[in-house]
Amino acid sequence: MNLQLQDFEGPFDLLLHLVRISKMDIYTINISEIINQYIDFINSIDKNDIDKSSEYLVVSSELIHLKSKMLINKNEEEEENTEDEFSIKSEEDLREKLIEYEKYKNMTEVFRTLEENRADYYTKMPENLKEYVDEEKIINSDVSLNDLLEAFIGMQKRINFQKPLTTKITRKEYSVKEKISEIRNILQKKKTVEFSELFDIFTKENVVVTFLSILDMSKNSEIILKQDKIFSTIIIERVGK
Amino acid sequence: MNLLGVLEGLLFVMGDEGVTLEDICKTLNIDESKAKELLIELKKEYEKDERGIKISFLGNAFKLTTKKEHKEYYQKLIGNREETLSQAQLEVLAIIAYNEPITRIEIDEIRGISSSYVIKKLLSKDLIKVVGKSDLPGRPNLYKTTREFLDCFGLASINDLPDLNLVNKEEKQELFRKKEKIEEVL
Repeated sequence: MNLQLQDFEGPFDLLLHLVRISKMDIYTINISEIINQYIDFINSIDKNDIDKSSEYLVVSSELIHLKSKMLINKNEEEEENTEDEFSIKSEEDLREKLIEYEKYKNMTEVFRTLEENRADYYTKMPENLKEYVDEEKIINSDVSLNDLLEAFIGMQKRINFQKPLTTKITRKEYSVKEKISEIRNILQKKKTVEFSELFDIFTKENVVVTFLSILDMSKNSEIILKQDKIFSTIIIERVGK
Repeated sequence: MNLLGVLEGLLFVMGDEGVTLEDICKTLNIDESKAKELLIELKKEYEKDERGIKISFLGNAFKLTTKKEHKEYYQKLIGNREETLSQAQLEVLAIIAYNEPITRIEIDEIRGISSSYVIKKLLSKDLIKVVGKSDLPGRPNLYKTTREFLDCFGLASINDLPDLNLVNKEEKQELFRKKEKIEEVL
């Protein structure tokens, strides 16, 4: 096959061409055979070439998907209902798509002839009639200077509304040291505490610092971490008095 | 004032934008039958061999055009600088013309390939236009063909398009043997 991608207007055009050269009727054609030819063709051409029109690959993968479905005879199965514009749902769907596409492709011949016939005679641009048009009146109502002023003030008000109310952005800093003494305080009051209880504020910094503090205290044998079974709550227990 | 002369001038002034029957009635302050009468009279005058222009009916408007039997002379003067549409552009135009208004996604579905570039080209050539938004998710643009499209293909209205389902060779030829649309209008 001495064909190039440039010879086709798209994957459907290529498929139609394959149907034609197989000299079979589109209504009776062996879809699986056409799919094989399509995939062979896609594999045979330069990979750089196909990068330019990824649609050929999309359709290629749709066809492989369809073929695998046909092989295992699972046509009846309700597939995930993809609304993708290039999806091919079944053999019948592919056939219909090709028939539909062929109608428009054939019609382009008619359009081409119509276009050629129209080129047999000429028209001209309309004349410029500007000089006959009455000067346009822009202000015809009674707008006073005061109205303009009010409109301007109104606009300024609106602009002010768009600004955010006064805000102050501060960054709360957490330190492991502070957090450790905080946890100690909690453990002073009660001997045990649930792991999750310590994470009171869910900011990234706080979670990280709290976690580090727990690891640090555990390393120093200040606390013991207990868990009854996997994935259950972790209990933190104070060591000693 | 001789209304026939005014009508001729009117057609000249409006060029390829053309003049509708209503335009003529309004401008000349006459009724439709009188307007048709004038058009037929002017048309007859132009049919004489010694005249170089004729009245065509394109995109629902009357326009002065040259005669196609004189084409070779004009081409000698201006050369052959016709810019024809590409196969892809014709495909997209055909799909829009038979389904308008239509979204880009629907066009892509029929062609199996993305059409955004072609649509941009057709928009810049004024052959299609955006006529609103679809209710589909994302509210995509809806496209429709323009009067320029009809003129470009020598059609009087979108209804003159050949039946999409009935196109074989003979029917196509029949289509072009068809009498000029202006005969039906007047």
